[in-house]
Amino acid sequence: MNPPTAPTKTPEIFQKEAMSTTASSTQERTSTKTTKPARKRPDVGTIATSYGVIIFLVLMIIVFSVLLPDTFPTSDNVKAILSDQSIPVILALAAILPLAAGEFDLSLGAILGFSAITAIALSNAGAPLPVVILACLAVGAIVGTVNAILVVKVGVNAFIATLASATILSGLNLLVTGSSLLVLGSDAFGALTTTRVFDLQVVLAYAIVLSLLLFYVIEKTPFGRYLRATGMGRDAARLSGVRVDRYLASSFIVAGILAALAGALLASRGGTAAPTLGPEFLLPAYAAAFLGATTIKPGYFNVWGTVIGVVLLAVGSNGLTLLGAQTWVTNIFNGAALMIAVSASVLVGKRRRKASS
Amino acid sequence: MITSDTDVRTGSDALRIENLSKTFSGQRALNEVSFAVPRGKITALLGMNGSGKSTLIKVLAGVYQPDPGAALTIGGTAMPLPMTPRTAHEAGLRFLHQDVGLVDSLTIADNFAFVDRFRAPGTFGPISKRRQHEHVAATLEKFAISVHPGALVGSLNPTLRTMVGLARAFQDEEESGVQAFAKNIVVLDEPTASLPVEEVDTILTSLEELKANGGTVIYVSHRTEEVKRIADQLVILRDGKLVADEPIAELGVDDIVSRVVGKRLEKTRIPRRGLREGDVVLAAQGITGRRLRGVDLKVRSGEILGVAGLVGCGRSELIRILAGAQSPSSGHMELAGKSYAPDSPATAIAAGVSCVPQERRREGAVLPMSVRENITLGRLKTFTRNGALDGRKERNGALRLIEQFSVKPADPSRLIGLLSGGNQQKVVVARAAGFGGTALLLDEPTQGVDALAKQEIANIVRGLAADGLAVILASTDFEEFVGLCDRVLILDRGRLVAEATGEDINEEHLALLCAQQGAAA
Ligand SMILES: Nc1ncnc2c1ncn2[C@@H]1O[C@H](COP(=O)(O)OP(=O)(O)OP(=O)(O)O)[C@@H](O)[C@H]1O
Ligand SMILES: [Mg+2]
Repeated sequence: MNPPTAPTKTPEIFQKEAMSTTASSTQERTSTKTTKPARKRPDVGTIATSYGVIIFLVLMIIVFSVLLPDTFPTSDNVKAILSDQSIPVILALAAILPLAAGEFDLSLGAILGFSAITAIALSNAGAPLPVVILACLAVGAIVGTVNAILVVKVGVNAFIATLASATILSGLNLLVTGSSLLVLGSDAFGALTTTRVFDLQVVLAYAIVLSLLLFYVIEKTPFGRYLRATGMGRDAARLSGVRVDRYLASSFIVAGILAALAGALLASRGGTAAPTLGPEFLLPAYAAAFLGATTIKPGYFNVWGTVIGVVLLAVGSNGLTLLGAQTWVTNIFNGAALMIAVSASVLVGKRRRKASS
Repeated sequence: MITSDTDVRTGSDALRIENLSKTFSGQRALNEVSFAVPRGKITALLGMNGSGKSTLIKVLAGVYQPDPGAALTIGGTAMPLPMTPRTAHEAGLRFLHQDVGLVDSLTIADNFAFVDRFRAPGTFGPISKRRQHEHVAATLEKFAISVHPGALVGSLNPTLRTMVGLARAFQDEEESGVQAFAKNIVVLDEPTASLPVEEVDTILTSLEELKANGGTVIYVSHRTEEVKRIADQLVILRDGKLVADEPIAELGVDDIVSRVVGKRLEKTRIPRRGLREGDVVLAAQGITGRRLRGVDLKVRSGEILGVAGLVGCGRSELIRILAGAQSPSSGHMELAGKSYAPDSPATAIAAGVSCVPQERRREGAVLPMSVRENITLGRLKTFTRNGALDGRKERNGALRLIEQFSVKPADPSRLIGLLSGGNQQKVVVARAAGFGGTALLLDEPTQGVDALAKQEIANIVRGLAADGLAVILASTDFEEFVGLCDRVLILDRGRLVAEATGEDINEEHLALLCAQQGAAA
């Protein structure tokens, strides 16, 4: 049985590379004095694939604004979307780290849930804010480390290893909560998320800072490059001197910490944690990550693409909800958006490959 | 034994290409190429790296769509263009592509089956495992491949993989006999690039046999001796244009090379320098592994040491162990007098030992990354400022190596997977040899590299050695030892059994040493 592989390994992504080369070579060309044939301008197909998700997002915003002029394009609604999506963004960012290294981490939702429950339980027991936060991050780091050991040292398939740890965490959740809703009793922990920055919730600032940080690490440092090489050609990367085991392990550990942070923020902001909290956050995070891999830098899991993926899904469900649609419509929308965006980029990639290569 | 059926066709052209062009995003890989392939002959398709050979073959195979205006005739019938894999198969074309095209995660038998659907009764009918295995086993046996049809392709070494790919290209000919031989056109893109001599011989012999039975072959190789031995007709591409289309008859090896390269190549033989006197850089004692049985060796600063031997002698394992890619089960290594026990290639590289691994596509290149990213992979420390990548520095560093190793096209942002095979190899060599160090390990470094670039790489390696680097070269190409090495060790089933120095390093003597050991078994 072969679980699906992360797309860095699939041929489609490789086929689409021609596009990202066109994009990234623009700056390189200017400073390259070597003679080489002029490259074709990016054609409509390239633009459609690289920016399809963004175009779709803009169209959607226009349509909802026309249909719902009083409720959708209001500053309150925009603020609500941005604040509501801050935590999903952090979780989606967590997901792209193992994905870039070529592996799935299915425990991220469960880590988020367990961290939220840990946070409330500790706060209610009187632990001060810094202790609670550190405990949450430690939970994420520990689960991430266990995942890393299983995958890197023992050699368990990541899909299965992280599924197993997710299942264990869901059991622990039931144990800690006694199978009932936990309610935050102290204001101290709520303070983590109640501050406002420019009249926006502070979680948005957290998400922006983390996005910038991750963007820097993934795109601008050797760490990010080696992480991607680990995902795209593990043997070659290893033989070239990349310590692939370390990159793989750190992707799980950092992802665990980020997911735990998202959990702590969620508990602080919401003030409650259901015993089953967590898993429902996993699929949207992956959907956003995969949507993100079709845009900005097609073929790569990238930070801004992922952020846009989260926003796209959020705008869709927000607009539909405001239109009075029921939950099932939103679910169908989310699934269909993912299907269409990813298929479109694969199809256009294939068409271009036929035509130009 | 040519049957009357094929007599009708002998003399006519098996395949005729007219006005074939292929443009990749504004770049011409093939430029109005026209030639004919005579039936019942072996036609060598030659050209330097990136000249368009593989592209031409992929057009025939229906992988690439040619530019409008081309025409293709097979066996007198005009083919509709673009070809598809199906029309190509039906027209009798059989391929062994440069990248072999086997699926690692499937067994040999399954790899045979997916080109060969007819063996199952309909798409949904049950596949007869037993029949399939019997058929595959028979084909493998004809090619002297002694592995089980149920073995995973990923577990085979490059030699066996190539042999399996070749056997697969031949399979239905084997089945339906002479008639099919005469009808089909077998197209082989560098089947011998990473094969040792004795396997090359197996392949050449089967090709000659095929021809004797009326078969038509298109054969790509950078090894001119092979071409001279088996080919009847010569078709040469340069920068996508046809530059020669003639019978090979009178041409010598040097004539062929100069037609390919476009100028005469001087054979550079290094003056025999006698044994090196430098300090010992890398020393190994009693290295034992899966194949190796206690190997002792020493390489001195400035020395180029060759390691030769038959398949399975442990050449690549020795390189892997020295490069930190595999741990020896016992033995001791020293680097510049200090104990050296790398736990990973990263440690080895940090200690100054870098390596060109044997399998380019899996171990050498990260195919979905750019040439720049591949050249600097594992060496990014040199290209950072305050911990962050310095894009300009990296690009300049990559450009310098691209120029030094004449990677074409000289575009650092191009994906390495879109480069021609030989140019990919140059990138891998550039990474290993371009960043200094104390020892350089080369496993089959010039596989798939054309004659000119081979010479350039040899010059670079010589230069590095002159600067004091210690070099170990494992190769199946004896000519490479002659051009480069100060000393050659012969490995036989995991043991060092002979050593050649000075005038003894010549192709005949090395072949003799290797063969003696094989025969002594
Ligand atoms: N899919 C592709 N997209 C863009 N350019 C390509 C693609 N495939 C090949 N090329 C370019 O076309 C040219 C011809 O390449 P090709 O692989 O046919 O060379 P080759 O003669 O087989 O060389 P080698 O001896 O190194 O295998 C090269 O410049 C190569 O970079
Ligand atoms: Mg080729």
